[in-house]
Amino acid sequence: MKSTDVTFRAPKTEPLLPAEQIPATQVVPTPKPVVESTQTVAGGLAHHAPSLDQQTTPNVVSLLVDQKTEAPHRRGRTAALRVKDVKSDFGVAQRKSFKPVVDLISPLHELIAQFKGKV
Amino acid sequence: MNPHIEQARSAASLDEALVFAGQAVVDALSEAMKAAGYTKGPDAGQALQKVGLDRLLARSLGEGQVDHRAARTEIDRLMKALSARTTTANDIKAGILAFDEAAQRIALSIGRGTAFKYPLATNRARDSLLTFARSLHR
Repeated sequence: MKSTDVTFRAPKTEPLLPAEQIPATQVVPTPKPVVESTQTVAGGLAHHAPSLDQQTTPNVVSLLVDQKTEAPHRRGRTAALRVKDVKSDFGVAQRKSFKPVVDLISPLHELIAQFKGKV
Repeated sequence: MNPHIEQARSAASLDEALVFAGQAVVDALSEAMKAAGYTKGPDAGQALQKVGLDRLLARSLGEGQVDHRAARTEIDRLMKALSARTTTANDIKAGILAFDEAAQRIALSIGRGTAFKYPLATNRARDSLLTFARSLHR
């Protein structure tokens, strides 16, 4: 670079062009609002929920999409009530242990008969 | 003779008699569960007594099966108790599950075609009780 080139450079504080000479295309337009109307759904998520209300906000859309990935019968529920079938853990020895209860059946039968006879 | 059964025999009404009979069944059941090696035996007895299903079990053993009308009456009573907040949904669920388990074990101990029947299928009383328990499950 030649030293003569530096002498023709304009100082930094001065505008490169006078204001009246700035071309119209360089004027920055006023930014539009992000959500102009009720028809806006965040572009990337819109295809996930085509049937949603058009006023739905992007956050709600993503929440609903998450729920869609969950199995429908499990959503928002606790585990099913566990009802036991005792056959599997009730062998011969256990059955014999229940003799005290079995021995009560005959007296209970007589008891019910006694009161049903009264009625 | 079991002392509770003696008291039951001298009771003035069936309802009063079933209170003593229920106690006799719970005592025998706890003893049997302990002897069979189930550590939760006393808990099952308490769960039954807490919601009054020991009386239904005693009555059912005396009648040879769980009558669906008696089960329905118990469900109505439990629903009222739930509304009046004298019992909780969890206690009722635990009581019904303890009843179902005890009835299954007693029926299996006796054998087929004898004094007490409690089938798992086509058992209207069982279906009603378990449906009620499921309705309380959240």
